[in-house]
Amino acid sequence: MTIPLATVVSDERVSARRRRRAGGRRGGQPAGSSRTAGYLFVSVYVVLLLALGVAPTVYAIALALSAPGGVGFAHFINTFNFFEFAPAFEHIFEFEGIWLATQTVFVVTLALMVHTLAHRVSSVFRFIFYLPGAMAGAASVVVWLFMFDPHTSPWAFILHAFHFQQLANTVVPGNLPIIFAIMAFFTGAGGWIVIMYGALNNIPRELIEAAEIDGSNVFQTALRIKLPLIRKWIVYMLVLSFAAGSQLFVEPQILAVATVGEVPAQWSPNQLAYYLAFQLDRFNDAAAISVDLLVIGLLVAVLLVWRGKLFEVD
Amino acid sequence: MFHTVSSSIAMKLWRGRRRGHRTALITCTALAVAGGSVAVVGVATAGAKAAAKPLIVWIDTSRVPYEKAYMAANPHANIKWVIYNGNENGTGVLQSKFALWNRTGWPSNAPDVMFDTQNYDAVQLATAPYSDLLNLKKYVPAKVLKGYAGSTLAAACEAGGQIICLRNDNAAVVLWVNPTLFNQFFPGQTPPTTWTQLISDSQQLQASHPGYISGDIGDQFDEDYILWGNECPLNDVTASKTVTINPNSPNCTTIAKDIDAAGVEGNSWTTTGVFSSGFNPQKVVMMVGPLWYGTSVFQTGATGGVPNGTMVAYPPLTATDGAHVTGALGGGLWLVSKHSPDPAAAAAFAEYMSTSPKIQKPTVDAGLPDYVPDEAGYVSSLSSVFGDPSVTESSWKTAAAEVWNGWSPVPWSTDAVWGSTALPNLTASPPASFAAQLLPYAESLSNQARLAGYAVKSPVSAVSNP
Repeated sequence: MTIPLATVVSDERVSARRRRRAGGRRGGQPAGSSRTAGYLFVSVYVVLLLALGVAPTVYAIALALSAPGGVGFAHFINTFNFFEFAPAFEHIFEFEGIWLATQTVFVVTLALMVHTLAHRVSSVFRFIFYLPGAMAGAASVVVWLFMFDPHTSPWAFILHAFHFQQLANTVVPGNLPIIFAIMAFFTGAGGWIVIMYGALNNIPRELIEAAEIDGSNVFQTALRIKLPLIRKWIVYMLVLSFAAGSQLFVEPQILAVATVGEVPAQWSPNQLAYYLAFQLDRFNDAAAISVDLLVIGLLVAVLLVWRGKLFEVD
Repeated sequence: MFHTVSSSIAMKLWRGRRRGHRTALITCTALAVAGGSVAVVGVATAGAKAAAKPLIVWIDTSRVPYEKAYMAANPHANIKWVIYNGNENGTGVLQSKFALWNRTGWPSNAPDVMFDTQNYDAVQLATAPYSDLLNLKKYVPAKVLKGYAGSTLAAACEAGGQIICLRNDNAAVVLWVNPTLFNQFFPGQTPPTTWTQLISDSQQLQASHPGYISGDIGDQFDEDYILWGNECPLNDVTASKTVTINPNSPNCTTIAKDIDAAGVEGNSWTTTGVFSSGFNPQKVVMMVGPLWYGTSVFQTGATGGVPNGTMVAYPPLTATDGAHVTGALGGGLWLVSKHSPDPAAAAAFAEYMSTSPKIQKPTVDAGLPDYVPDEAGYVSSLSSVFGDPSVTESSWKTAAAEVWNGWSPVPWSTDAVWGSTALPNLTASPPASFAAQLLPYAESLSNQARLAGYAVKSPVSAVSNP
């Protein structure tokens, strides 16, 4: 969650600088020496990006496209025909559907509600919401293992209400999308509430006051004024969350080890790719699945950015 | 002390502990693997010898006593001991390292000898696309190779006429009995000797003493006892890269139908896994399980276990087809890398670890040595651990030699597939029919086989042609 937070800050700075520039110099371009410094700073990042971001991607695409007769889609066709291929993508879409829907509804609703509170009260709430997010990744899975085991869970009575007598009952395949959605929700929602709150704070005070003078009540202000103004942030949250969710790996992988296979080690596409590469030594097929994920992530991002008008200036 | 009989499989061990330890261990092993924590114990000898490249040996934490025993017996050995997770179930450390090294070249710090807790690893790592294990036939005398129990060496360590590993310990399956409870509930009777008898006794037990346990249906590896132990052909590699899977064989269906007809699931056969925190060893009248269950599941190695000296092992149950066979769960392997700069020394080391009575003894080896000449000395020291030592000792030896070799080592985990297909249905309440699990399990195994590049032979069309 640190990345989006940083982006919020930098985004504010950028717009502030833009405003300053627009009012100040006509050309809006920084002077010579500061431009060199800018290139210098960026170059470090560009080198790292090329080495650790672009090069592996190009390598994966090359691996995926290399076929016995040169270049071809043999590995894509291969993997597409794997019995685990379609279920893995079904799993991930089911998970994303549940997770993104609940996350969007709860994050936006809670952020709007918290934003109506006095600052000191709201900061307490934001802190509480954020707390579960402090425990991310592998650590959270380990804690959730306790939570989902009726023998150790403090909420055992809820699990018993669903007739779950032991961990094996809780993690049956049909429950997994919901289980991973619950994990992802509590890990991520708090951070996004903080970001949405920041976005809400960006709304000019005069605008809300004007609405109130015109007789808008709390609900109308929230739905008609605030919500449209943070739409881009919601789209931004969806783009990032979708990409992260489609690459789900740590949670099912640890559950697979902890349940010795009741959660299959090929549950998500990323796990299937890992299994192919590192258990069966089939790197090309694994690369093909990675490229599939890349394409899906890009397509969804482009769709959301385009439909959500993310990069348009108001 | 003889606390952790189990251990041939670290994975099973940590499942045996309380859930808190289990999860802590997951993170610990993850960290250990990531950091590749190294324990160098090699005593540097003088002059030129010190400069020689040490033999690099990878062991898991349960094998640390081996390191100590070896260094005590050979204080000047030039060995670099590295702790890793023993290729614990599902982690595939060796597979991933080998795959990468085969692409980038084998580094000088690659292991010469490895201890592996997974029985099915050796064949996979010794055959294409890996082909990274040394053929030990040239290095280990034929007389020694003949010394391993029954067909156990052939079952895990033979691939294409090569011997590609040496077995550390034997984890054959026996019938564990709590004589106090058994005599109380079945006065004047002797423990069952066949699967059919066990099932009818179980039916009697659940009618007269509900809540007591005579079997287990709630674990990922129950098929290793029930199906493997009845010669059910679901995992039989009959030719190179060809597996025969026949869920319609009477060896599978008879036992399955018997289980269903007796209605033992969820009654006398518990659906709570033996390593689950809800399992109560005090209620176990009898249960089929591997040698190492004795202490780590039933006696003082388990939470709430019965005192040491209570449990007695009886010989494996006769299969429904009348065969004297049994299954197995665990038993580690010693692997030697084909890329070792000194294959003779590496092979000699593996042979020593797997056969020397200085290593294969109680307090060092946690399981029954698979090398038969070491068994007698090992078993005789167990008299204070289990009840009726003479029965337990002879049952262990019988079981060790009876493991059915038709359940082959393959690159996929039959336990994990059972866990994801059958287990959720068997642990549901009420539990689903056991017989109904056979076909979906076979289909899932056949999918895994094809994914690993195996051809599947089956008279059942749903299995042979998905």
